[in-house]
Order: sequence, then C-alpha cells, then structure tokens
Amino acid sequence: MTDTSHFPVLSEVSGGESRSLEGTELGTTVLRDEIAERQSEPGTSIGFVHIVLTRSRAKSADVVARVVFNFDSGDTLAAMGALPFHEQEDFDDGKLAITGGTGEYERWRGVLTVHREGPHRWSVDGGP
Amino acid sequence: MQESTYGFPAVSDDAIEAPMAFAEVGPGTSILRDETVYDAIDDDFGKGPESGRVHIVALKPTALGEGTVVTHVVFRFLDKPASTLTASGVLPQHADDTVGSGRLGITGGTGKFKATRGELVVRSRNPHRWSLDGTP
Repeated sequence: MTDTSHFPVLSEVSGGESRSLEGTELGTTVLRDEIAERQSEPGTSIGFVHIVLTRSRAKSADVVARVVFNFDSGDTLAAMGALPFHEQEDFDDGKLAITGGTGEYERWRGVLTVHREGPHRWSVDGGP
Repeated sequence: MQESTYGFPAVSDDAIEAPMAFAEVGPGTSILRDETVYDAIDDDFGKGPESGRVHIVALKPTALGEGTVVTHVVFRFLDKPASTLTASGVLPQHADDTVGSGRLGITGGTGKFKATRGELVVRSRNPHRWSLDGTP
C-alpha cells in the first residue's frame, strides 16, 4: 500500500438515490456516487468517488468498472478494470488498474484495491 | 491439456448469442461486447487454450464521428490472482458493430501487467487478434 494524503479512502452512498445493478439486464450501466472519507479521519468528507459499473454479458460474471476520485483538494485519480459481480452490492473485492490522475496523482500508475464489505475501502499501490 | 500463458498474443471471439448493437442505442451510449480469450498459436487467428475474458466497451459515435468508435477494453485473465490489462482509444467501426483493426493506448494493468506500457494492437475479423507493442 502507498501512503498518500488521501488514501486509504472509505466511501459509501449518503442520501439521494443510487442505482444498483441488482435485477437489471446484462449489459446495463449504472453510476454510483459515494462520499469519500480518509480512513484515518472518519466522518469528514474529502470528496466524491464516482463509480461507473457495466454488468458483463459473459458467463464470467464480471463487472466492468470505471472509477474516478474527485477530491475537494482538486486532485483526481482514475482507475479501470473488471471486478467480480456481487448480487446485492454490485461488485466484490478486487483490483483495478490506475489509468491516470491530476494534481497529486499526475503521472500515477499502479493498482487500486477495493474491499466491498461495510463502507467501501480503497487503497493504492503505485506512484508517479 | 496445455496450460494457458494468460497473456499476449491472444485471440478472442464473441461468446454471446445476442450482443448489443449500436442500432439499439443513441449516440454517446455505451455498448458492451464480452468475448472469450484464448492463447494465439500462430500469426493468424489460431486459438490455443482458453485464458480469460475481454470486455469491450464501445461508445456509439455521433454523426460527426461516424466511422470511428471510442473504445475501452478490459482483459481479465484466469490466472490466480487474476491479471488484468486495460486500454483505451479510437478504432474504426465495422458495419456489423464490431470494432475494426487498430491500436489502443495501454492505460494500466494489475498482476503480471502492472508495469505494462505501450500499445495494444488489434486485428479484427471477428475473431479479434490482440498483441502488445510496448514494455512488458
């Protein structure tokens, strides 16, 4: 795991509606917007996580995931990949490839790991 | 049975009976194709052991961009833990809604592709043949 000024991050939906893949047709895309907090400072928002999920039509039961962290500091981090499908929570534990970023994460490459249970927990392993 | 190398070059073909089509959606909407991936065993489209899945997200072009498709590709291999490779770019549009031959920028990876950079080259005839041009 790499230490940054933001990660590890916890995120969860707060208020508002969040579409789920549950009960949708294969191939459906949904957007989940979640509030992000530092794991070390729970209860204080540091921005948003935008999660675009497309349910695979293959038997592999993958979910194609595109994730963008938009921090209040102005820094952003983007990642993309495939995660295992989870009936109730849309996706399960897995790893995504970091595809880029801005500010603190400019020129970043590496791996973004997500743990599903409870609030989502995101950690990064990488660097510029 | 021969073990897969879980990598490139690779060949993929459409494993879905009724893939999504551009005709079903409006401009800017994503369609998804999921294909089974196999080791490539020759310079053509010969298939070896199954190695994973590729998910191809293609955005239906507007009239201005007709003929080209903004494309995101995610490979998820069957090794443990699963290695993945992602790439994005623009490919020619085929009349049958598949993407044509071209090159995509590799945007990242996990597992054995964590440090892979460069281009992902696709030759399209449905099946597709994929190879890497860059640093492993």
